[in-house]
Amino acid sequence: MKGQVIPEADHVARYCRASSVENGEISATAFMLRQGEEYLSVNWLEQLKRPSRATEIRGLQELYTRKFNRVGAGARIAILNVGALRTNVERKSSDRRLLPILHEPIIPDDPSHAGIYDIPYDDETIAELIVEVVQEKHPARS
Amino acid sequence: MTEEARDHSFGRYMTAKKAAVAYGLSENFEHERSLAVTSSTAAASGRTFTIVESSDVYVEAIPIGYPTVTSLRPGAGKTYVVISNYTQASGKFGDPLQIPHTSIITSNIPETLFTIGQSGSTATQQPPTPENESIEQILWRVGTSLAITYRTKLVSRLSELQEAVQEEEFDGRGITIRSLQHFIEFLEARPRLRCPAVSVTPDRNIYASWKSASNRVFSIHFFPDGNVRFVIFRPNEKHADEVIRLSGTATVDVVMSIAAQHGVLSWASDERPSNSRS
Repeated sequence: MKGQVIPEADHVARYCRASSVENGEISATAFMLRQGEEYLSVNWLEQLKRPSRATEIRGLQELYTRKFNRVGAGARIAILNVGALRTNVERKSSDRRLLPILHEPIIPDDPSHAGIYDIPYDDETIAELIVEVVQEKHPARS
Repeated sequence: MTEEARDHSFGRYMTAKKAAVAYGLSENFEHERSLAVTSSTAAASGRTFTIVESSDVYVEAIPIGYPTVTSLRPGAGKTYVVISNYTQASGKFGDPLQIPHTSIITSNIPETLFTIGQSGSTATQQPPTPENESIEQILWRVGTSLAITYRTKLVSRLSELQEAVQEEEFDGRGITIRSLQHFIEFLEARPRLRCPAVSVTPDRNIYASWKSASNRVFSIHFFPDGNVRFVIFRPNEKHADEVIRLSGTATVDVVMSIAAQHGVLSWASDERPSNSRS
C-alpha cells in the first residue's frame, strides 16, 4: 500500500551502481540523492514474498535487468535492516534525524518499490551513516 | 592530434603497461632504477632486462605534448618500448635528461617483448589546456606524470569508473571533467596522502574517501566549481566510545588544512601529523 511505513524488523535493498562500488565495497555515494530526487529508491524485501534470501536476490536481479539501462558487472545489492538504519542515523546525525521509510509501489512493474525519505541533498553525512549498517552485499547482475 | 587518436594512443599506452606487467615487471617499472626481473612467472623466467642508454636509441616521431608509447628497433634482435611524455619530432635524443633511462626497456634476447604501433608525427599539436582536456587526457597525465606512488592504481580505478558511468547513464556521458580535475589537483598538491577509495556521486562528481575504521573517516565530494563538501568522523579522545562527526563546505585548496586540524592525516596520509588534535 502506498505510503505504508515499513516495519523496523523488515529489510530494504538498494541497487548500488558499479561506480559506487570498489572491490566489492559499497561507497556512501550509493546512498546519495541525485539532484531533484525526493527519496532514495529501495525495494522492500519482505514485500517480494519469496521464500528465502537467495530467491529474493534473484527476484531483484531480474527486476534490475528489466528496469535499468544496463546492470554493470560491478554493481551490487546492499541489504539493510530498516530498524538498524533508522536507529543509526537518528543516534549519530547532528539533528537526530529519523528517516521515514515508506512503501512506494510502482504498479505493475515494481510493486516492492519503497523510498527512504528526508535524506538531505547537501550533506554526505547521512550517506556515510547508512553505509555503516549495510548488512549484506550481493551481485546485482545474475 | 584528434580526440580519437588520443584515445587510441592512451589505449596503446595502457596496453603496453599491462603487457610489461604481465611480462614480470612491476606496475611502476618506468621509475625503477634497475629493470632486472626476478619474477617467477613462466613468461619472465630466464629473461633479463636492461636499461638502454638514450644515446643508443633512435626515436621516431612522437606526438608533441602527449605521453606516448612507441616501438624502436635500433639493432637486430632487439625490440624496445619507450613510455614517456618526452617530446621530439625525430632523431637522436638531444638531452638525455628529458627522458629517464628507466623509461626504456629492452629484452636481451632476440625477440619482441611487445609491439606497439607508431603514432604519426604531430609536431604542430599543442598540449591540451585544462578547459578542453578530456577524461582520457587527464588519465594519461595522471598515469605518466603525477608524482604520487599509487598513480597506476589510480588510473586503473578512474578508467573503471569512467567506463561504469558511461554504461550506467542513458546519455553515455562520463565523470564530470572539472570535478576530476580538482580531485587530481588536490592529490598532486598532497603527494603523501594515501590512495583513497574513489567513487562517483549520482551527479557524476568524484567522491574520495580515506577510511581506516568506522570512527576514522575522511571523505570529500569534489564539485566542478572548485568547492568541496567534506565529512570527518574521528575518535573522541576524551571518551573512548564516542565519535566526533563533522561536515562542511570549503574550497578544494583549503579543505586539507581544515581536515588536518582534526587529525585525519593520522589515517589518510603517511605523514606524521604536525598540528593534529588527536
